[in-house]
Parts: sequence; C-alpha cells; structure tokens
Amino acid sequence: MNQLLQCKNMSKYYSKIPILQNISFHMRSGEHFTIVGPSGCGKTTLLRCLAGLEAISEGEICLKQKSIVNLKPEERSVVLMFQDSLLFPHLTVIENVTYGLKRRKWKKKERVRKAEQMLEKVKLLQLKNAFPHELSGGQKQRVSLARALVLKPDLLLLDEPFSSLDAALRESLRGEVKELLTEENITSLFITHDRDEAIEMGDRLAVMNNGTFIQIGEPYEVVTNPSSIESAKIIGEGLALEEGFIPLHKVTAVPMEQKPSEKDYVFVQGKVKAVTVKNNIPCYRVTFDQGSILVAADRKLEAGQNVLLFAKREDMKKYKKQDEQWRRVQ
Amino acid sequence: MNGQSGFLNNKKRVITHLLPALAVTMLLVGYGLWSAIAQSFQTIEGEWTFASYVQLFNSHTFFHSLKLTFRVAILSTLLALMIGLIMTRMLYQFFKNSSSKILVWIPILIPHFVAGYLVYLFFSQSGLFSSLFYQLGLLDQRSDFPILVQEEFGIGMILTYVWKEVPFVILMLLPVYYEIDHRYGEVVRTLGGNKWDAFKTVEFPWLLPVIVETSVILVAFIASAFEIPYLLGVTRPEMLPVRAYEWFYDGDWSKRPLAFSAMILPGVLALLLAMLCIGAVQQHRLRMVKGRGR
Repeated sequence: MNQLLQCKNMSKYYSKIPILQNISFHMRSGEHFTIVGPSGCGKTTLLRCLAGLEAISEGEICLKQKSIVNLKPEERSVVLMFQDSLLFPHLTVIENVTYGLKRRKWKKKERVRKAEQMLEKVKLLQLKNAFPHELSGGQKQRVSLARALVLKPDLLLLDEPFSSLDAALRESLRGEVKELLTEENITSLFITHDRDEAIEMGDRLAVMNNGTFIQIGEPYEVVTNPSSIESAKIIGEGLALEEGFIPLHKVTAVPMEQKPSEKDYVFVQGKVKAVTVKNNIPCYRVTFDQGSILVAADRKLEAGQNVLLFAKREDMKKYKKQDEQWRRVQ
Repeated sequence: MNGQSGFLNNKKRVITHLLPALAVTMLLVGYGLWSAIAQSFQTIEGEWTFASYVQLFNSHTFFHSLKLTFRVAILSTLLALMIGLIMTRMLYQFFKNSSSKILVWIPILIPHFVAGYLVYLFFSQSGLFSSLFYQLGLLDQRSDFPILVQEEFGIGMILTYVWKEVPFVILMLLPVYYEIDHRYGEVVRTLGGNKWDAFKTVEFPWLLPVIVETSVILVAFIASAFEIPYLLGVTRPEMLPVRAYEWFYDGDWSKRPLAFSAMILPGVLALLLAMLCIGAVQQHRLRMVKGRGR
C-alpha cells in the first residue's frame, strides 16, 4: 500500500463543540495532498493535531504504521509551516535554517553545509548572513521552507503559507515550492482556502466543510464533478445548483429579455455585479440566489444588468447519493 | 514648505509647553546634582580638590560598604528577576482576564520603610516566625532562630528588596509576555525543540531588553536607597547610603565632601552600567521588533 500517514475516525472537540468529526484519510509516501475549505472549517486544527500541537479527542493517527497520537510535537517527524514565515528575528538566515539540525545534535560543520545546500535550492545562499528584517516577504517564506525541508521530515504540513503574500508572488512561489517538494521527495499536506492554489499544489484534493471531509479525489475530478452542492460551492468551477452542477465552460449569460426558447435548458436568474477580464476575455461576475459565478457571455453586458445564466440540461452533473459519496470519501 | 513651517511651529510649541516643567527639573534636580558634584571636589572651605576621592580610595570602610552595597543590590536584583520571571511565566495566562493580578501588585503600594519593618517583624530573632517555631516546638529557644536581619551579609535587606521588587519585575515583564507571538514556540516544537528550547529561543530574546533595563533600574535604586539599610543593616559594614548619611550629619563638617563623593561614585558606576547594557541590547531590540511576524 505504501501508505505513509493514516488517520482513522479522528475527532476533536473544544468544550464539547466538535471541530473535527470522524476524519479518515491516508497519504502515500511522496504524495502532495491538499485540503481546501472555507475559513473556520477546521483545516488548521487538523494540521495542529497532526503536528501534535493539539491533542485529538478520538481516533488514531499512524505515521509509517506507528501510532503518533501520544508523541510530543518534537518527537514526531512532522514539521508545520505556518501562514507567516515566523523566522526567529534575532537569528540570521543560516542560523534559522540550521535551528532544527542543531536540536537534533548535528555537528556544526555538517549542519552549516546542509543548510547552505538547501539555501542554494531556494536561491537565497547569498543572504545567509542576513537577519529576517532585511528580507522581503517572499524571501522569508523561502527561508521558512528551507528551515523545514532541511530536516527531511516524513511529513511536511503547510498551513496557507502564501496567504500573507501578494497575488503575483503567491502564484510564482506555488510552482517553485511544488517543484522543490517533489525534488526532495517530501510528502506534504497543504491547506488553503484558495481553490486555484488547492488545485495546483495537490496530487489529490480533499474538500472540507464543518470539520469533516465531504469529497476526496484528484483535483480535476473534484473540480469538474463535485459530489455535493457544498463541495460545488467550495471548489467547483461552475454553476452550483440544488439539483446538480454545471461546469463553467457550459454556462453562458444573456440579457433577461433574450431568453432562449429551447425547453431543454436550465435557467437561473442573476444580476451582473462587476465586469472584469480573465485570460483576455471579458467576464462578468453574476450573483444569483445560491452564490455567484464568473462567466463569459456572447453579448456585451453591463454592471447592474439583470441576466439569465443558462446551460443545456444534459450538461448538468447530478450529485452523488450520500452513501455513495461517503464511501468514496473514505 | 507649509508642512515644514508647520512642523517647526509645532516643535516650538512643544518646547514652549514643556519649558515650565523642564525649568523646574533643571533648576531643582540639575542644580542639586551640580551642587553635589561640586561639593565632592571641594574642601569645606570651598577650595577645589580631589582629596575626598583620594581619601575614599584609601578607605577600607568605603570598600567594605561598596562591596556590601553591590552585593545586596545585585543579589536582590537577580533574585527578584528570577522569581518575577518564573511568576510571570506561570501566571500571565491567568492574569490575562483576571483582576487578581492586583494582589501581586500590593507590595508596590507599601512604602519601603514599612516593608523593611514587616521583614523585621517576621524574620528577626524576636519576630513572628521565631515565636511560631518556638510555639510549635521546633526551636528550644527563640534565640536559636537564625539571624536573618541586622547581620553582616544583608539577608534581611535582600529579603525586603526581593519582596518589594518582584511585583515591579512582573509589572515590567507582563506586557512583554502578552506581546510575544506564541506561534514561535510552536515552531520550535515542530522543529524538534523542547519547552526549554522554546523558552531560550522565543521568550528569552523578547524578554532580554526589558530584563536588562529592569536590572539597571533595580541595581541603581537599591544601591542608593537609604531607609532599608538604615533599618535592617548593621553598624559595620553599612551600606553606602548609610555611610554617606553618617558622614553628612556627623558633627565633623569636613567629612561632607566624603558624603557626596561616596554617593557620586556608585551613581557614576550605575550610569556607566546603564549606558553599556542598554547600548548592548538596543540593536537586539530593533532586530526583534523589525523582524517579527511575517
């Protein structure tokens, strides 16, 4: 099976309020697993439980077939990278990167050599003697990554590490980080609330809502074929309706008065909230009863205009039945 | 241009508003300080001389007093810092949403003289503890109780200062603990460090500048305070402020320059100490402030 991490029926309660409910999943060695979900759904708590910073209330966590539930954070071969870089401000870049190796009693010469190699990989060797306040936000996150990777942990947990960076930097770092993780053969669990980031970073993707996984699968499958309306709203790229999901490329917006006459179409009333450009194509942010969608149109639309979102009924994908969905998630 | 002239106007206005307070401070404190320095370099007849300093450096009494003064000041400061740090570390979460921290600060409200008297009342051979132990049968006689006040080492004085200054240390350290981003401690743990590593790497570097500043304040204060050594000290050796007081109020006026120079020397030492320590931690503090968080 080559399973590195196994979580079985993991639950976490704060004052009897469930934060994580009956979570079960596994990760293969070298796999990049992404969890996406809205703020407050329990993503960070899940990572903290895996890192040992929070005790779980029920269930089992096995790393390399051994239970780690009762191990302290420092005894687990698991490193957590936070939203902020959290470099120690009084230590230089090289001292930050060697910090974990020093705790593991590596000889100074060896740990400096190893840290320099890692800094070379994140393209920051020339800044090894700089202090954190002399670095930019992106450089700090790179050092933070180097500090985690140099330890070669069995599992690297990344808690929205790019959320404090600007959009352009975030996009360029994503690719770099995934490449480096693959190169170093690091098994990683990445959480985010950004769907693009979730799709790009993961070999497999889990959708989380209210403390539980509601769908697990390959990113393309999850995005184009969400298993429930909740999953569709969180990750689906398209029109999430009660009766099913319509992929975005099948949806068009037209002015209200130009309603097509075909009876095999699905129509949803909406209103253009904003006009934007995506991939050099004019797009419209249309809000409707159950959410909003960024959609293209054959004709020019204007902000404030009432429109119809429509697609062929045959393009609608029905959600899976609850029991089938649950079986797939497990 | 407008902004520039506005700024200058503001600056002038600030100086004008501060002038009365500055004038009073400069006149009273500044004049007093200058007068003390001048008199330490003069004979009682007003001739300029280094005689009092030469006499001090040749005086065993002075060095015994200096030794006792800094022993009491440094030991009291170290103990107050250690106890204050441990208490802050243990209680800061509890104090966050609790008015019970007022209890810890009660000793701050009590004057030093009263604190000294309380220590005398509790810890002297005729005090409450010796009576209690005697009544419990732990002592055959009350005089078997160890001599903790009015003895040569200065235990009574140290006890008083520690009791009085621990709340001050807590008062200084508590805001720092609330300022520390405790995720750093979690970073240490996930990188393989234990709780002690987390303290060394995260808490201590944040506390260091405040610990240094608090130490300087405490050493300077204890080394120049009069009431506690006067109440709880012994006749010989006495703390420097007591020695200086005796020289000043002695019938022999020719010893007054000695009194001034005996207080100016530890003052200068404390000033040098302050400049050295604060200068040394300033860069560290800047790094901590600029480099924290993101």
